[in-house]
Amino acid sequence: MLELRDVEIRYGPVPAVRNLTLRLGKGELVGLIGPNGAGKSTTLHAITGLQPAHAGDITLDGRSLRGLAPEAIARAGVSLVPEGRRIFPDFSVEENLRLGLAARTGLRRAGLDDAYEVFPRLHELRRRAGGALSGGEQQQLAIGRALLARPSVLLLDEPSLGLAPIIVDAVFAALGTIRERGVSILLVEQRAQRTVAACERTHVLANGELRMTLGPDDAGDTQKLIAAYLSG
Amino acid sequence: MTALAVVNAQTIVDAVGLGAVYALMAVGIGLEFGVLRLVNFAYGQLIMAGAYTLAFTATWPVVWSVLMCFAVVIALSAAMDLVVFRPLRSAPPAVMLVTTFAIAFMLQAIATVVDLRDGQLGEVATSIAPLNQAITVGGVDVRKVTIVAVLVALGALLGLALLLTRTTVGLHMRAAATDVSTARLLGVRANRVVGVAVFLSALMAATVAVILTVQSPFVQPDFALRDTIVVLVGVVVGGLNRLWTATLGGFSIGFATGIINGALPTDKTVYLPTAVFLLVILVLLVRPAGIFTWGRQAPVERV
Repeated sequence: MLELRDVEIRYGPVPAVRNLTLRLGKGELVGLIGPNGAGKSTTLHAITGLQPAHAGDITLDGRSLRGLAPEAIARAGVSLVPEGRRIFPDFSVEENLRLGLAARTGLRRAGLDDAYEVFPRLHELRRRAGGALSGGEQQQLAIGRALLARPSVLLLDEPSLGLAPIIVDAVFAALGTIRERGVSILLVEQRAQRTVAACERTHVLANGELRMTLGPDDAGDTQKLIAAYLSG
Repeated sequence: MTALAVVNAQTIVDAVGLGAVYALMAVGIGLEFGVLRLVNFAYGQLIMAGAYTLAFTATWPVVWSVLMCFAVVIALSAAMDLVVFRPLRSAPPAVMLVTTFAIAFMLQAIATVVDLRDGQLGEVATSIAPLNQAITVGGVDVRKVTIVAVLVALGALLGLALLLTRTTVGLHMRAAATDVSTARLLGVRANRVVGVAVFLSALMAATVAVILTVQSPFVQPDFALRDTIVVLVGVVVGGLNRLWTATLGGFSIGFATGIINGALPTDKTVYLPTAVFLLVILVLLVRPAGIFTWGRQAPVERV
């Protein structure tokens, strides 16, 4: 279980996130939405060790992740699908996926089936250069790569950004499959309505603070969503 | 006789030999740059330390002397990484570069002090000198060490290519060289990757120390300093961003130096550095991103 308690993150003297408390239980799908600059990506960066938390604590199954290097956090079981996908364009699809195994401890000769089972298309494309893939295929690659680490927590930073609606459907469907495997997912998204509908609960972040928490039933309540966004 | 007529088989053989040694140095410098984004000016002093080790152990059996050279260069390289580069890893490139200058001159000063204990500057590495003998192939004198240099350079490049493309640690090194923060997010251990790069780079430096010491056994504190500057220039001319372009750059500048040296009349060799660096400036004017760099070029924004 991933838990953030009273987390504060600063860029220099400027606080980007304040007093953020949230928890992610095993197999849960939790959303994090909010306007640009609300601190969503910053929160993910703090969890993964890219940006140090200034105060509060971030724990995974009771063990603090604060102060650990990004590679140590990845090895502890937290995988990030970064914004913009950040695949390696000159590497083949297979090599990109093999990088996902870097966070696995033990198991020297692990295969890539975990990714191919969720995204069979990647198997067809395995010899292709990552940079030659379409946006949707690259997103599949980025998620597949993260899955190969066999994470207990998967963090996704705007996975639907720049994708065609039909591909977005496929991405959300894949999240369901991944969840069934017992992986907890924290989803940062711009598509508020879609996220609220798909997640067990969705936290709205504005100006670095948690404003409200919505359930799937609130997805149809446009007024409530607008109010949540404008409350900052 | 025109200058060009002097470029005969002998000149080409010597130029290939020099190119091979410079290619090895370029691999070492390129590996450290790729993973650490660090232009290590002190690379030449690693070679110098190896050469002094060979000189100071000249009475030992050759194998032990060479092994000791490798041990000293690897230890010094690891110490440099641990004590200086690791704490400075997130420092701006200019700070890192200036630090390597400081290390270079400090090591040179230490070498001078150690060397002067017998009251004379310079030590002779006598034990491995026999490798410098030549054999004659079709009227061309080929020094044994040239054959060794070419074979070792080819072997090292092949081995490195296999390591980078066929092994997990190679994949991790390439990933770290391309985008270190994403690589770390995926669980690639930065310190391990850097450690392997520093180790391989030290292996190259030690190998070059042995080859250069065979060619010129008189070791002084500025040993390999000029070669390092030339190779650094070659690496930039070839294209610093990729290992193979950097390596080709190293080979090319060695080869060009050899050819120009052979082409210049004996009483005009004093013009060799002028001619080589004039060529470098011309190449950089035409291809600023590197002579072997095609496609994506590094964006340069400056006044």
